[in-house]
Amino acid sequence: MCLHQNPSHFEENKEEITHSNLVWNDYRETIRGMVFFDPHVHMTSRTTDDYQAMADAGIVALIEPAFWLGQPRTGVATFKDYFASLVGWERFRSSQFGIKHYCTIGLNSREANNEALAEQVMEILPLYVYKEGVVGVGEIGFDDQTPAEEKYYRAQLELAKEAGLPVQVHTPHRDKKQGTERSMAIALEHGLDPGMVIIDHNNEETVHSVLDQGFWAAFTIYPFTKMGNERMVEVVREYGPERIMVNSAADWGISDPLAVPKTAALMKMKGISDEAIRLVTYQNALDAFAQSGQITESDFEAVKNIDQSLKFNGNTILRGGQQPRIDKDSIFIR
Amino acid sequence: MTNESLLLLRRHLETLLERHLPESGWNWLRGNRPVLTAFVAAPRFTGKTVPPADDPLFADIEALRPGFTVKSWPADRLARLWLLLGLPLDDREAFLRSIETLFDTAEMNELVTLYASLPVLPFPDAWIFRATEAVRSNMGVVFDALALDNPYPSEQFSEPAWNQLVMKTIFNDKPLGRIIGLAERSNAALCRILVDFAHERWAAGRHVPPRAWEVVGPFIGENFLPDLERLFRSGRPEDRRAAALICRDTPFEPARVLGSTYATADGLDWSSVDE
Repeated sequence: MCLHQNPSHFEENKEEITHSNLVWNDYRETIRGMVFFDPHVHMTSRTTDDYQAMADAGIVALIEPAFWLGQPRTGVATFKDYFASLVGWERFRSSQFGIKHYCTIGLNSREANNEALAEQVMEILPLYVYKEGVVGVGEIGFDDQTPAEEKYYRAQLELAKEAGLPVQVHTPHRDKKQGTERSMAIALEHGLDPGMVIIDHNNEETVHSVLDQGFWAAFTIYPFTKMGNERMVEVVREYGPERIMVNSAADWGISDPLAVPKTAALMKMKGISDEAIRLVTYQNALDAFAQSGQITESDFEAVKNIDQSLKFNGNTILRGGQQPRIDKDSIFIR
Repeated sequence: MTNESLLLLRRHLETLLERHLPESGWNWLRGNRPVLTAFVAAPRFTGKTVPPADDPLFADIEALRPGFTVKSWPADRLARLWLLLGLPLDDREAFLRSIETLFDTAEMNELVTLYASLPVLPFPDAWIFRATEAVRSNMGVVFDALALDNPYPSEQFSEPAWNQLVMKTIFNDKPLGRIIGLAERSNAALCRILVDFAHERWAAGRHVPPRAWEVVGPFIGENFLPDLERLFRSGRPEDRRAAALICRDTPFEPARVLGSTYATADGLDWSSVDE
């Protein structure tokens, strides 16, 4: 749901120095000992190399929101399998790298436009939102801001209210300011506590109103189309760390699963306090989504101390008899 | 298991849960709500504490169903099994439909519960395909729930399905000693598959878990003698112990003779070769 790449936009920003220019050796010392929580990352679209790099960079937990897979689904069964994979296989895959995996479950805005299918998806959502480790309803909201999108956004706000779960709201790429305002107004109209709603993909233009109305403001550090992390540093400088969180929204587009640690490094280099960094790259996301009752911080440690036979063996990622880590500098593959 | 013993099992679980669940969890569980929804939501209310292993009820439960234990099960898994056994146990079609729905929408811990519960579900013949799906699973904990410490596969699996389970356990580097029925269900086909597999592993400079050799004894012949010799000459003591045990187990005289020139299996058993 997160990339909407516009080629001309892409070219325009070619000169801009983004966090992509930071390489591991430049910042690993800067963030040594820090831990991170990426509250929005689509691991289904990422490789095992990404998981390893994320674990190495200090990411201890993440949230994978249900989203659009890049093309429309044609039946409810593929939704079912996708939701099942978010609470099943992907969760397991993540655990093997010592990263605690949570998810949010919802009908994304694009596919809300296929009303016949959307009705069927709405029917199966309650089967999944009560599952263990489901920390919210998401990512839901507006894309095109059609009546169908509004209808299912509203229906899912009701579901979240009933289940006592936080809501992760995707804000649109086009007509963003107005779409963000509308998303918040509808949430309030349905009686949701803004403290239970995380408004995602903010920028300098939307953040003020979001914080002002008591919502959580999430920022997606995503090259070219969303926030760059240099801009992010300035936002934290201006607004302070309260109710602000940073995520990568890494997916199948040109994105960066290390966006959160890299942003932390940049903040540190630019003189943001350690406590503010901790809040926006870890604690705030934890506090917001822990309202689901489904996050226990001690699990972040537990998943690292996972049974070795579980961590290293018994799966196609890390086969039995194979070393759990490969030496990437070695030319030999054994 | 008869319905009477299943209901007795349910009563034991109930006592165990009443004893060890926090009061709010116990009250929630006893509330009259649809079983399938309660199954999904259980961990939110029961927590995941493991009852102390010295509770005498564990022995009562083990006595009801040999090979089956709920010792070390967390509270949510115990509660979920209790809920399943609360479904009407004599309506095959309805029971199957409920369990299939749970399987179809299950997350990882729900799958673990369902697979670990197979030995005490009614209509055991109905779960064979599902059980083979756990063998195909790449989620380690799901595979373990079916393959290890679980009497269901050895009782229900066909020979090819059984052989696949054993080979996957080896392949996944899981503890073979925890497969119930490992020696009893061994067969000539498995012996051949294992020997071929060993040759592949050795060619790659890798090892075969020595416990795997427990399955070959009754089925080896002339062409196994070079492999046996290789095990006796292995630099790994557990390989040499396995070789001695093969010679002890096998009726194939030339192997016994070969074994006597190397070592005896005196004082050894198969658990002593586990790595």
